[in-house]
Amino acid sequence: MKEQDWNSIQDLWSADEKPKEIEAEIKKEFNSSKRRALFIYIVEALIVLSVIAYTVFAWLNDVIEELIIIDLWATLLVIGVFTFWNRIRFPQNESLNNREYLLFMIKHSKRKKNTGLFVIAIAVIHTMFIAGYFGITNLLETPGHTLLVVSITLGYVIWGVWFTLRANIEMLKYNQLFDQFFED
Amino acid sequence: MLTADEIYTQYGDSLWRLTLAYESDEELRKDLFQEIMIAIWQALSRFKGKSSIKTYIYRIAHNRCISHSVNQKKVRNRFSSIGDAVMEIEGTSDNPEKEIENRELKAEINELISRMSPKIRQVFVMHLEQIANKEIAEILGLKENTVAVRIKRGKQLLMEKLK
Repeated sequence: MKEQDWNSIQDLWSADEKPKEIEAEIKKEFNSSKRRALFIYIVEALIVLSVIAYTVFAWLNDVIEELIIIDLWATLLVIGVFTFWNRIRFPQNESLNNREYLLFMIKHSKRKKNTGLFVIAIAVIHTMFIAGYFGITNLLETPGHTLLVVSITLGYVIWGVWFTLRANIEMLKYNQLFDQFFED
Repeated sequence: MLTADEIYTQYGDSLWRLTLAYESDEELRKDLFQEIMIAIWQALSRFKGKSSIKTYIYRIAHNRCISHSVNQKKVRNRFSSIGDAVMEIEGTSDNPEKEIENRELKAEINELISRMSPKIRQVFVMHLEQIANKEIAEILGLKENTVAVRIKRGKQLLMEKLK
């Protein structure tokens, strides 16, 4: 290949410049992403704090008949802990090279899939616990409680199934990309 | 340490061209570029100096491109039609014929690059950006020899068709 040909290809390639109008958009998006992150942190902190406060209050005042309501708050606590746990366990890994990154993401999506399955298991355990503690007949006599228990169980199941399916799709795609880039 | 603005000025064009290897749709490409720049800005504070800042930036960019590909519904299609992307060739308005010729040649080059396999294309686009083989190997997690082989193959594919 002639060096001159190659240079002209490289010149043509380098002539393509970033669109000018995009810079302002990026700066705007960057500022709003910082605000969004701060807002999410504050909301999460408030949820966790109110769950703790309510649980302590219920415990000190022996509000045992409100166990189902505590159960609702406990669900929020699970979500809060789950979110923080995910942040701690899956830190940002931009600095990994492509190969490590793809392997990390495959492993990450497998963990996510397992977490989804764990959430489904929690749904089953939760229902069994409530039914065993209160008795199915007692629960059915109070439609409000029944509705609450069914809603929470369904919430767990939908969350778990959605999480598992999404993680599975991600895992397949990362695997496919790994094969495309690194399998010889 | 470079500031976000300096990175945008210094690496913006190169990163913009890099996105072409992963996304053909002009609007989605802009979104991807935006995501990359934001990811780089956010990651700047975590830079530990274990590699050069250039390697760090390109790693983030490539990883973001990969995640973008995963989030697209049809991964394969994104990798197979970059030749359709709109190219802006600047300058030479005093020579319209030359400009048209350049546009056509650039479109042809893009088309040929789009036909390369993803693993060759990924390396080849970085080579076009004049990144050293050693750095490409470091960014992608490949051996330097593998990088050299893929670049050679890419050049062959391109030059054979352009002749």
